[in-house]
Formats: sequence, C-alpha cells, structure tokens
Amino acid sequence: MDKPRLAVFKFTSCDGCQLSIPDMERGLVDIANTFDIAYFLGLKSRKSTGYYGISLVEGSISTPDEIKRIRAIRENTHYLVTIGACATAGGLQALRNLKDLGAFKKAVYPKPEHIDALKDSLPISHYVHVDFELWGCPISREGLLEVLASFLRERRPNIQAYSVCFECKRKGTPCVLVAQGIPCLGPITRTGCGAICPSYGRDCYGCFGPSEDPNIKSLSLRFETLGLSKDEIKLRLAGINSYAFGKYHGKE
Amino acid sequence: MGKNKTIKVDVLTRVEGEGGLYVKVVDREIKELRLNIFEPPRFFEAFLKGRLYHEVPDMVARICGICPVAYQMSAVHAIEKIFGLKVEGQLRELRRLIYCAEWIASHCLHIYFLSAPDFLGFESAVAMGKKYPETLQQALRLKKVGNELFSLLGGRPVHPISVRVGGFYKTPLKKGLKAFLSELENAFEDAIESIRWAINLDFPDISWDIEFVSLWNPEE
Repeated sequence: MDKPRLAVFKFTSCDGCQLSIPDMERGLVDIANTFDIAYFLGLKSRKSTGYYGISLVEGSISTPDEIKRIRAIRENTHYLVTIGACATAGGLQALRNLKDLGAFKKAVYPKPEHIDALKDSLPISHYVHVDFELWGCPISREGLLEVLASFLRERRPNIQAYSVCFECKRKGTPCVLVAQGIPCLGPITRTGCGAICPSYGRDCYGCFGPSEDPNIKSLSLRFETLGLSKDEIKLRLAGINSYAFGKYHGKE
Repeated sequence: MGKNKTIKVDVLTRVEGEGGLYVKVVDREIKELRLNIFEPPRFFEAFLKGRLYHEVPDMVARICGICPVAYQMSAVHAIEKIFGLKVEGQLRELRRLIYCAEWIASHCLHIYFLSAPDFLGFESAVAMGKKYPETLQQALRLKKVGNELFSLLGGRPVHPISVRVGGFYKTPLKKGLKAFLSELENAFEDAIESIRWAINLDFPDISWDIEFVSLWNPEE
C-alpha cells in the first residue's frame, strides 16, 4: 500500500507547533517511515504538490494572500488538521482584532503603508472546513501522534476536551486557586498540556483554549472575590486564545 | 554557470520564517538581488502595551517557537531593570542553563536539520540519514538532550512556563539535575563529534568585507 501523503503548512505563527515534529526525535523517523512527507518547507527542500491525504496547518490567517493559500490547500486535502492556538483560534496575534489595526501598524512600522495585513487574525476554520482541531500553544507531541495514528486507523482522535482541573486532581496537584487565591484559568481551559503550570505553583493562562462548555461567568465571579477588577478579568481572558475565549465571553 | 542567469525561489525551504529569493545574473555579474520576507506581521510591540508586567514573559515567548527563552530572558531583564532588581547567584545560573538548553536544541536543529542537507545534497535530514545513519542518530541524540534539559527547567520543550520576573515559578530539584548529569556527559562527546563533523563540511570559498561583532560576558 502506498504511504499516505502528508503536508505541513505554515501561516501566521511562530514555528513552534510544526517543529514539534523534529522535536519528536526518533518519532520523526517513524513518521517519515509511515507517511510520505510530501510538503514540509521547514524540514524538506523538495516540494511535492498534488492531493494530500492529511495536511497539518499551523498559523492563523492574517493577510489577503493567506486566504488564497488556505483555500487552495483545502481543495487539495482529504483530512485537514489545524495544529496549535494560531490555526485553531487566531493565536496571540488575534489581540489586534480588539484594537485598531491602523494604530498598530503605525506603532510598529516606520512605513505602515507597506504592511499588508487583514484587520483580523482569524482561525483557519473561519475560511475553510477543518476536519480536526488540535489545540495548544504549543501542541503536545502526544496529541499530534494521536492525530496521526487515528488518521491511519480511520478513527476519531482520542483527545479530551474537559478542563485542566481534572488533570490537576489526577496528578494530585494542590489547587492554586483554592489554596493560594491565584486567578487560574484551569477551570475553563482544555486539558492536553499535562496541567504543567499549577504543578509549578502558578496559574494556568489558557494556552490550550476553552474546554467544552466553559463556565466563564462563574469563574469571573470567583476572580472578583479574589479582588480582580472587571478590566483585569477581561485581560486574563485576552491572552493566547483571546478570540476563542471572547466568543464565549461575548455571549454572556 | 552561463553568463546570464535568473534564479527565482518562490519560497525558501529549511529556514526559520518565510521568504523568497530572486537573483539576476548578467555577464557573470549579479545585477539584481532581492530577498523577499513575507513572514506576516504579528504586532507584538503594539499589543504588549497595557499588559501586566508578569504576563510579558509568557507572551513574548510566542515570538519564536525555536528560541522562546531568548525573548523571555530579554523581557525579564528589562522588567527587572525597571524594578531595580538584580537576579543573581543560583537563579542566574539556572537561567543561563535553560538558555544553554535552548542553544543545544536550536543549534542542533539549525546545523543538522536545516543546513546540513544543503551541504551534502539531500532534500532533508531524514534523507541524509539513509546514507549517513550515524550522523542522523547523533543529531537526534543531541536534540533529545537539549529538549530534555529544556523541559527539566522549563516544564515543556517549547514555550517554557517556569520563567518569571524575579527568577522562576519553581526551580528544579537538585536530585533531578544530578540525575541528568550523566546524559549531559554523554552528549558532550556528541557535541565534540558534531564540531569535528561540521568543520569538515565543504564550505564555499566566500569572503566579505564586513566587520562581524559578537558580545560576550566575561563573568560567564
């Protein structure tokens, strides 16, 4: 049987998610033996076009050219997976969606007229159909391996969407919110990182995006009892996954 | 190469970031040379305004998934300077250690995975490994040590969560670091071997009339 053709694409992002592939060390060799890595600018010079069995897409859509590119990729892909917070939720750069782009351009570039950028930095799913979204900033290697393995077995990835709290309880990590009064986003954040931050005695800052049915209103009230102002609570949610958390927040 | 030639690379491969290259050669002389960087802007400088100081190290890490510690260290040093704070002793040494871990991992990526295939005429490090399996194994071993040391100090191999203004959220246990020492000693052999291997690559004979500057800290 022919090896399935795998492609890796980058849009507006930091490279951290796609480079978790060489980070897999020996796993990289296994992936290369199992898939035909047809397109991966970051690791391979030969670019093989055509139809891809699976495309891993990193990065958000933030320029007019990127809209064209992602549409072409969708047309040539059987199973499209977004990897990371940028591709899945617009990324940290989606903070500009809440502000004036013109002012942002002027603040950073001496010749803002040369900067070709869309008003909003948006997730891939805003423009094309996405078959599976792998959250995380960065994604976990285990998560990516599960996505690839499930693709080969033609089953759904076994990746959970409950909150970080479950993981803390399982690990026996004392709750930083209850025990220390630290405004932790764990109760509304998706599991998948291994609940690292609370095990370091610090707050989860939501880099895996919203969990399923996050009760943002209730957590906001809890934060108020800790002495956080409404503005400070807003700021807590306006981080790496601001666009995704904002969607829930806006509904209330 | 003929007297006239045009080289057009729409997208450069095995580099960090995105760019293209255009070279026009007339009569064996470069008449036009354009490097087009189309990595989209992300406006970090703008959206960092108005944020709380303790959010900054977590945010700037996301500038680059290969060298997040570089940005975190610059940010914590800048903020500590504002506070008139000096982080010294073991904390400073641990900061240097996580920076070194990043160097091991990122230099390994750069040398073996991004550059070496060009020197040896392969499309990728994996393809290179088919002919030179020991070289690829060496690269994977070194990368692994860098990643593990990075995780030991930072909590995970990309975008560490332990770095904060004033030091670390949590420092590693002495016994954890000690247990890792033998791994580092083994990696030292690989590092020396890597240098031996790299200096024997066939470098093009090019020299520039440029003054290169590098900074160093006499204390470290």
